[in-house]
Amino acid sequence: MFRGDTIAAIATPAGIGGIAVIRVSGPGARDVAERVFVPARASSDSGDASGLCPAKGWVSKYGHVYDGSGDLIDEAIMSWMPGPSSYTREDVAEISCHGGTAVARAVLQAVLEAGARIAQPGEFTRRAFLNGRISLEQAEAVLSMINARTERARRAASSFLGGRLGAKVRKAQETIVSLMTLIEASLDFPEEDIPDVALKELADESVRIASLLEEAWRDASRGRILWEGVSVAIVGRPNVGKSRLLNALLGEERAIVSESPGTTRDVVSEVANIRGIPIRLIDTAGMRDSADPVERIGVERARTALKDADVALAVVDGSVPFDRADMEIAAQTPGKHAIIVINKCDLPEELGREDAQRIAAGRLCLKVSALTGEGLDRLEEAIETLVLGDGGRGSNSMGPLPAAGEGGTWINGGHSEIGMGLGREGSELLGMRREDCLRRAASSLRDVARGVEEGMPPDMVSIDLRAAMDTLGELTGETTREDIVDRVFAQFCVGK
Amino acid sequence: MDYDVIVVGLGHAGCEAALACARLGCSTIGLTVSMDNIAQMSCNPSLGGPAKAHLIREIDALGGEMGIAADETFIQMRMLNTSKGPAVRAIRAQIDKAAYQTRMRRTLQCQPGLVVKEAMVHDLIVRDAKVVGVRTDVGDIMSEAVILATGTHLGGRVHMGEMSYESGPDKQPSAVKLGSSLRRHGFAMNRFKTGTPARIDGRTVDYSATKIQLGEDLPCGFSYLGRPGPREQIPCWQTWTNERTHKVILENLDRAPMYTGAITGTGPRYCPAIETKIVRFPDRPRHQVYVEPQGRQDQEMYLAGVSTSFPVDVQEKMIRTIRGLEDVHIIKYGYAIEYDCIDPTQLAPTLESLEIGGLYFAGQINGTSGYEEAAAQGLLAGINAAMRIMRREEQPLIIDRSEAYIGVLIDDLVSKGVDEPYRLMTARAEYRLLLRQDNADLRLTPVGRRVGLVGDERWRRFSAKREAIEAIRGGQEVSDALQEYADEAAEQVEIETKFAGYIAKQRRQVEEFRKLEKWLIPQGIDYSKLTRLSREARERLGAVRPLSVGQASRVSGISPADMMALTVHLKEMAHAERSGEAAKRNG
Repeated sequence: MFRGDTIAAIATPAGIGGIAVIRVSGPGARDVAERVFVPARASSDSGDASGLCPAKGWVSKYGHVYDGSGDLIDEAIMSWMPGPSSYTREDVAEISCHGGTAVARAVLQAVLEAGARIAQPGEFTRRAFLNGRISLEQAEAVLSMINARTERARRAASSFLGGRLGAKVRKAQETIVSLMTLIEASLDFPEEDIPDVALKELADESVRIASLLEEAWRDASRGRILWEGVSVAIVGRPNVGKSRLLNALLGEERAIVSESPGTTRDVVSEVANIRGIPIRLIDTAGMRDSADPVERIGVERARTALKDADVALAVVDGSVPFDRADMEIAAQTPGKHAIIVINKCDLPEELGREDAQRIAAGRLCLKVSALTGEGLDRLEEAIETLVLGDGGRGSNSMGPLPAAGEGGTWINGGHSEIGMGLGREGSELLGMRREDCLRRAASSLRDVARGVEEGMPPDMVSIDLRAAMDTLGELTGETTREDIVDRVFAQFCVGK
Repeated sequence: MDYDVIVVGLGHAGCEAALACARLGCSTIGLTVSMDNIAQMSCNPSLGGPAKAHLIREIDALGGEMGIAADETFIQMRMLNTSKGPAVRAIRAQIDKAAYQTRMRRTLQCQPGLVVKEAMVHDLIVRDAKVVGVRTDVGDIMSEAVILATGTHLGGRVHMGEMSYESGPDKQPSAVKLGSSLRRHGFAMNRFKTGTPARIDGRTVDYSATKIQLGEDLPCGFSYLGRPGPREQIPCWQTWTNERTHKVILENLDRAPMYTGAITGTGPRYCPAIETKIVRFPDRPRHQVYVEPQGRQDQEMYLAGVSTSFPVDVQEKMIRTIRGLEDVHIIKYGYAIEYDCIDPTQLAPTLESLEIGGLYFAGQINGTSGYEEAAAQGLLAGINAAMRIMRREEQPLIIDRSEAYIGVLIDDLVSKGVDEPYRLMTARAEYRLLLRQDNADLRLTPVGRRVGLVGDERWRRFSAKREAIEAIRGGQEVSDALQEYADEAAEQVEIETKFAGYIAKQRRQVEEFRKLEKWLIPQGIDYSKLTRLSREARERLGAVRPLSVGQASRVSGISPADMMALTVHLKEMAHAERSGEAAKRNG
């Protein structure tokens, strides 16, 4: 905190809008920009001798963003605002790339690898204030924002710490703390009966934990754990209207829709803003046995997407008679986080209530028309409740809904009693900060092993081990220097 | 005005404080309840070890006395942690207890500008929130500054089995009145406990049943003033407790003041009494015991590892179960002592009281343990008291956590406070790799020179070593004139080169750390009015009065949100001040 170093973050709201802006501020902004961004026509603009990031004056350039290994990430506009003529009064580079979480994150990742660190909540604004860029009134706003963020961060942290990844991280941290205790005890009390640290074992253990953290990090970036939103897979037989439902929820034409079944042959993923929650909608190929190898691959990917998704919408065509296949697909959705969507309610109803109940088998069941938009409100509400749980709205709003015929909704028992327990802020904040911490901790642990390999003594390798411990501590909010001292005394009988 | 400075207590803190004040030109008087107590090692007759050797080297580099006196009087010296890296390598020495005391007493008595006197201090004389002198059993003494370095004398109470009586260490009188005087002046106090083992007659030890531990011929001592003279070293002897020892202890726990409730003070976890070790670590089959000589001319041996407050009959029985000690004769029994100390968060990083001007505290009275910790504080308190009197226009000497273990120690005390007797450890230093015992002179001798405690000879040696280092760095031969420093210089360059990556990492961390340390908080800020801070933060910051944003962040109970609110407030104040000035200019 308060470091005048170089910070970076995605400045646009998560997953919303066609353009994402990655803002970089600090003394290293120029370096970072020059490393990741290559202008399309290098300095050909009318004798521009000052290069990409001149010391004075704003410039905007079109070009491309590359990652550390030189692979193209995206085309982008880079705006350079040298301090003090910038928002923070520091050197600022803003990279505008295509919207969508994956691209923006890849750009941010490249920026971090180029030497920036992830900004704290409100840190740009704080720097703006501290550098005299904004007024006292605005400062008050900063403070209330900081307070709000702190509270949200705390809540997000507690939901994170209770989770699967949280457990993994804490276990890793616990191991590191134990190793650290052994080292410190042996360094500070050489005359006691304390065994010297077995460096080889320390290295092995460090590598093991590093792999664990890297695995958690990969899990995270695959989206299996919810970093920046919840993934919702839309599945169903061909031509039940999955793509149209995706477009309806997105509020834009994205997926190709046609009357011919099997139009969607691969998984299409888009981030929608559903009641303020970033939701990654995954449209999948219609599931059916097919001889077409391309379609078969699509179906396979649909199955994987379904498995990895947090919520499934199983779409059924209500305008055709009951088909066993609908029931089989519905059966593949994880019971708790699934909604059966009876689509095409604008057409004459062919699917009977009992049939729908057989398909839903106890899951929530809603009637919509992706074409006319009928019932979409209820579907959005259902998704919100499922994701946020009770905490989101203060009510268990998926309780008894109107029976068949009343507003076109059937209910087969609500499954919303807790929802996913993420909470709106939780899902928003599960973000790159964590990935950044995991990555840095793993890298410090690899440094521990490298140090041991190079024959470094324990006082040296302890520096990297301590760095790993402190980094994970940022994530879990636990463990300080004093804790290690306490543990040394608790575990070892020291003192003359 | 009788003296510029009064130093109360002449233990390890008091000696350094008194010498520093006198050497910086203050007329100084050192008060002690007995001349025999000067520089007494009431516990182990040993100095050094990780973090502690570092402290001695730092004291020496600044121009203090402890390192020189130790080099003159040690009877055994070893280097610890030789294979664990340069940051934790540490000298440890057995000291001739009596010779050390004689040496230090002579130094005090020969020091121009310094006198000593036997007196018991009863009260502080305070006027207008400034100390102006002390009341003693032999009359009032007036001064500009007072340094309290009373060790465990303050409200001392000794426990030995069922016996308990008011006393300082070694049957010295307990300073009862001074303790109540401090309370009356509003100081919050802690009550701590420490202990010491029995001393035995060396002639009654069966050394053949123990393991010998010999000294080493090291190329250096504690002091940078040169290699200590050669001498015959005296061994220590190692033995262990066993199941029979533990049985005696467990059977007699109902007679141990630690467990009967007689002792209420908080004891140190790193130096537990043997009864505590047995209770807390029941699975350990044995605990090591060192038989340490107290001096070249002395048959009294120190029994390290079995500090205890059992009654004498249990002590006899317990010690005689230990291999090699079956027929031992005990000269002095072990005892526990409870004593008062102040909550050190009431001090500025200069070790001056935040409430009473000119009043300094150093050593065990601040809740620390250890001779080295005490001496380091004494030196800093002495320097700052002298600077307050002699050089008001200059900034006081504050050493930060990235510069020295002294900085870690004092910052821990005044920012975080203590809840048990505080012992310095290398684990407490964030920038351990930069704070080595081999580079304390490079870190601090220029500081000591500026302050005025580094004499010409020390400065000449230091400059020569620096020159030798430059030569080696530049790939040149070390000239004949600098040959004496060639090895040390080569060691520096080797460490710099071999561990360059790690050193660079730590230097980057220090850079970040310094940014916040340099961001000063104006004194006199009224925290109770900063409503954006949590109530606890307002109270803690108001009590500690941190000098910098960095120090504020280490105060216990301060959250990141509090820190943000504080920094925003500081910026506001700066803005307001600037616009005020501008208005004045324009008006």
